[in-house]
Amino acid sequence: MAPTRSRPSGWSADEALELLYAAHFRQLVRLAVLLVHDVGTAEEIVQDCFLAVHAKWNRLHDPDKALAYLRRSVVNRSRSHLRHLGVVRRHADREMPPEPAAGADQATYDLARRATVLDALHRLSRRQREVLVLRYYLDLSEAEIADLLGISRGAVKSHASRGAAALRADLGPALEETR
Amino acid sequence: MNDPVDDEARLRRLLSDAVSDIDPDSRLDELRASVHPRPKVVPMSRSRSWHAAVGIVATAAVIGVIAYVASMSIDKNTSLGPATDPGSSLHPTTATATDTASGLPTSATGGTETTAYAVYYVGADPKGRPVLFREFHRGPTSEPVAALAVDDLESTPLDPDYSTAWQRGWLKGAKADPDAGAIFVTPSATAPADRPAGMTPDDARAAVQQVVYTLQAAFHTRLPVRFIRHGTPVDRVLGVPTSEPIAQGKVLATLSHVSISNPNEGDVVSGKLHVTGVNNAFEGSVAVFLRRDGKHFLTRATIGGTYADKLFPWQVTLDLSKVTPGTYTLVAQNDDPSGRNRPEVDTRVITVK
Repeated sequence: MAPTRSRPSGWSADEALELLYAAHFRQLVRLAVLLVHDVGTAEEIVQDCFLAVHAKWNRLHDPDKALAYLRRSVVNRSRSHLRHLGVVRRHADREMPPEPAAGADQATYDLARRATVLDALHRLSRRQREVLVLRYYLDLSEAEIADLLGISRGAVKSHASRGAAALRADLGPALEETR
Repeated sequence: MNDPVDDEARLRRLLSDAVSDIDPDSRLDELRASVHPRPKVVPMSRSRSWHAAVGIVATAAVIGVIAYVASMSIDKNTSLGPATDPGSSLHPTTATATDTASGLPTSATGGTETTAYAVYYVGADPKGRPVLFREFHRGPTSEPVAALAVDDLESTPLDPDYSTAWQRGWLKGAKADPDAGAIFVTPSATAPADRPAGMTPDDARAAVQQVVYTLQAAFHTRLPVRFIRHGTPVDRVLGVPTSEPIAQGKVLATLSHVSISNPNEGDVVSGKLHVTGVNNAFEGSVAVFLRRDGKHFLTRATIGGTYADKLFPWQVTLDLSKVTPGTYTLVAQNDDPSGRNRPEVDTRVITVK
């Protein structure tokens, strides 16, 4: 992850938008895809988050704070989006069959594996998914995750361990093959 | 038992890999337009005239960031699946409850009215063999992505170096059905069953793969494609046997080994031009430069990837601030260690202002 170059004497909101966008847009979209399981929705969510950062730049005024704010916004907005979709939809998704393999070549295999991982993440509880994604995708510490999600470190630990166990059980072979 | 450290490393790799092929479309111009009352760039068209708006997609890749942004490391990207597309999303109207790997509908959150999707067209590799190149187009979210993509398959590509074998009206609706394990597409009665005169068997196979890659991208799934009419498989399309589902052809045998994702043909660009694409080449090397009147300018070398049957992303930023305004050909050229001077290339004609 690329830390934004720090510059104490401030950027304008416009400069901040451009810089933060160049440095973080793609990774934040990927973060949102892990959380909401859909690229188009993820892009919309992240775009909205950048607009929010621009609007709040006078208060943030610091690239590191802005990145933390962006991450928190992505997690929160992803959560709202999923909540919005409703329980029924999520039940339907839980019953989704695994993606059938379309062929034997490596590219197809890679894509199928990625789809399987995204599906498995989607079957976790929301908190487990958030904690795992923040921990293993963004490489955040337990303390940082606790701060970002507004929960205790103990809760982070327990969501992480239960989530990882569920993911391991769900993904068995895929996990084994990732070397 | 599993070593916990090893296990954590695997989870890390797995999550990172799961989204490694997500290369989102640029939203920078939309953001700029949203935060300024008078945007520098025309907002996306909402009407059917989205063909005209297509050029804006790549303009969005022109990131006018201040100078040192180029030196900032942008999120590293490990690999890019060939048919996974920025902004491509589910076909809203065919999103049955169990539709595809993505599972969720597209829009819902912001007020954006367009969506990006990929369309594969036929070009030639250095040996003159037909290979597929990818163009990113934009269309209104009110229309199903697959319908937009099929429509574009039957339209002239933006880049005149490419062509399409599909004529207007040859393909009808497409839908993905994971329960049946396939994407279904209906060739119309006018779509030739036999290979048309002048079309080689390679051309015909490439044409069928155009449909496979484009629909798989539109539906965000790798399910094979079935050509059906009135509920029964069509035996042949363009002379290619289609009674069985058609899987995606191997990447390196089907796609160009180098391809520019941004900018698009015909874009007007200035400042810092952020050029992105994918390749597979000797040691991954690709050179990117501007060409005009036989001279090369701003040549930059960068690295995508090599070996595996896939394409790897690369990106390079060209500083156009000292370039004389005018029309140039932007070239991405794979390294050609053979010395035969037949490198794999992709080009875009752009205007520097």
